[in-house]
Amino acid sequence: MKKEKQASGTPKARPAAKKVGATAGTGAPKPAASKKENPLKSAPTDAAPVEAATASKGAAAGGARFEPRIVAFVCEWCGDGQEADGANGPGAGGTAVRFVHVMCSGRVQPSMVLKAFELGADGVIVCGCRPGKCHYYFGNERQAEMFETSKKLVSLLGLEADRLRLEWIPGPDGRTLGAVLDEFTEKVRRVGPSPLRK
Amino acid sequence: MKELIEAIKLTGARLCLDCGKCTAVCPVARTNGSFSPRKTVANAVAGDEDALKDDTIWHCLTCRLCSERCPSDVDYVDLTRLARADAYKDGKEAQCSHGSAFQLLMRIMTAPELKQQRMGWVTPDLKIAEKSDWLYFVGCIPYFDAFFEKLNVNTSEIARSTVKLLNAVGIEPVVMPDERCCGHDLLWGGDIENFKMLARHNVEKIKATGATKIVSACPECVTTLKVYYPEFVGALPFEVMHLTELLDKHVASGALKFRKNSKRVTFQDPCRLGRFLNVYEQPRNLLKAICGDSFKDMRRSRNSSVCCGTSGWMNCGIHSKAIQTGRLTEARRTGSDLLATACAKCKIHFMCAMNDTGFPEESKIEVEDLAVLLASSLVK
Ligand code: SF4
Ligand code: SF4
Repeated sequence: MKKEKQASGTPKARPAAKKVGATAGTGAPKPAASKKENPLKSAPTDAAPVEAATASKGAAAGGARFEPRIVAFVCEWCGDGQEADGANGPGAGGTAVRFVHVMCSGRVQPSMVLKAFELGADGVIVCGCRPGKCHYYFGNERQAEMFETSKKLVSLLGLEADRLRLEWIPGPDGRTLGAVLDEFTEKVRRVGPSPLRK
Repeated sequence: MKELIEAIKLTGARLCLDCGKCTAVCPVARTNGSFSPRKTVANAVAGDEDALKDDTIWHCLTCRLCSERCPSDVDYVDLTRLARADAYKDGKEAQCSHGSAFQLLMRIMTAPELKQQRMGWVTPDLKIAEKSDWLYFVGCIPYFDAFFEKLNVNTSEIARSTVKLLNAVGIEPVVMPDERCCGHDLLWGGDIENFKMLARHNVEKIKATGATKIVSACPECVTTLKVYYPEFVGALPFEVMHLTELLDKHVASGALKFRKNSKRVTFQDPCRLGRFLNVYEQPRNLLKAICGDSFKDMRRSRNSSVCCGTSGWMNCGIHSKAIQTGRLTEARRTGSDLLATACAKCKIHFMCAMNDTGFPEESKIEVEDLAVLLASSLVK
């Protein structure tokens, strides 16, 4: 299995960020983005829905639907170009998911998750390969361990558990990355805007 | 540059005799040949603009050992603090360990609307009050436990022990569910803006509790509140002290008694507790109250004590590890089985160093916080 994967060569090249639904992300936020620029903030299309959402705190109440800002750390090997499918899928309507491509989910330290929240993400999802399918043999296991730490830190900070997710791709019942992201986005939409939005 | 000239004035750097004592004692200079406080001071005074701007300003542990030795009273640590604040404004930052996780936690904690869930360490046996003259400032202990679970640092036990000890001397302290990091590491990392936000938040919340006496088991919290909050946010309407200062009084008066044991123990003076707050005797008195004559100081102790090797989660690397290995070896050489410290971070750094593959077996020693040792020896 592992050999097969390796034989298929380098992961598919793809643009750093994809348009999702009607709204465009500004690009993948660099995990170590300088403190002066906030890649999450600079998405122009966010402004209106965010204000509406803050006013109505959460779902459709005030008319305009709350569009959460999602940061998705996606391993280059497991997504398989699927975000494009998910992007135009039924549920994604208007939400900009910011993809941060990593070579392995094992790269995503707790600090990267915290950075996304610090920049104002409403939800953060880490996607890796299914158990036993990691291109680097054990990167996803490391992620599973680190994720426990991320979860604890996020919970100490008082952020809702639903804002943070780890998912192996393909997801449950063979769900595509796009479907997983849609479902996660819906969850976060229900939780409402993060108290860390700037 | 104006700020830096001001910093040189404020810290007495112009009085430098170029004697080199600072570099001779500096634990960083011993392991990292490219670092020299003397050179930095001498060059800065000579008008070299880069002296206080290059990367070496982040190497210092801010342990204050050099200032202790300086015949001219040059405050190198403060010079470093001011230089860092200036560099930070220019967009420079320290190389922070753990991907800056702790700095991020601190910056997240500046958000006013945050509702932390940080009280998980409180067990039913601990007596905590809604209203009291006393407030226990916990510090980042809950976060340390979450982050360093693998090292098994069990820092929450320090918090529980602190409350047990306070209860034992008749104090039921207030503990704030909305306490934020004191900001120590942001202050020393040059991020003054966020430091001030944390300071203002904490001062306001403490004021709202009505407490007038603040006690903490963390020397960094105590130093930051006591020494630096007034400098940045004005005079405080409360008194701040370290747990050992309070307990020592109660032991001296005979009100607090411990079961004796014969463990051989030595003590690591945390930089902030010793050289910043001048608390040297109190922790020793307390240790002697539990282990009597089997307490033994290291060769370099009190104001000559060597830092635990990392400060503000900055620049941890081979130099830190070398300092830690050296210090643990020194502790072991006293013949002690246990190294007591009074700072959660000292404990974390030492335990991390010993966890490394290749750490010399003969230098391994148990490390425990003084509060935990004391609470487990309380006479019921
Ligand atoms: S404060 Fe400590 S680490 Fe910094 S220069 Fe002085 S002795 Fe060296
Ligand atoms: S110890 Fe003091 S006087 Fe001597 S070189 Fe260092 S800063 Fe200058």
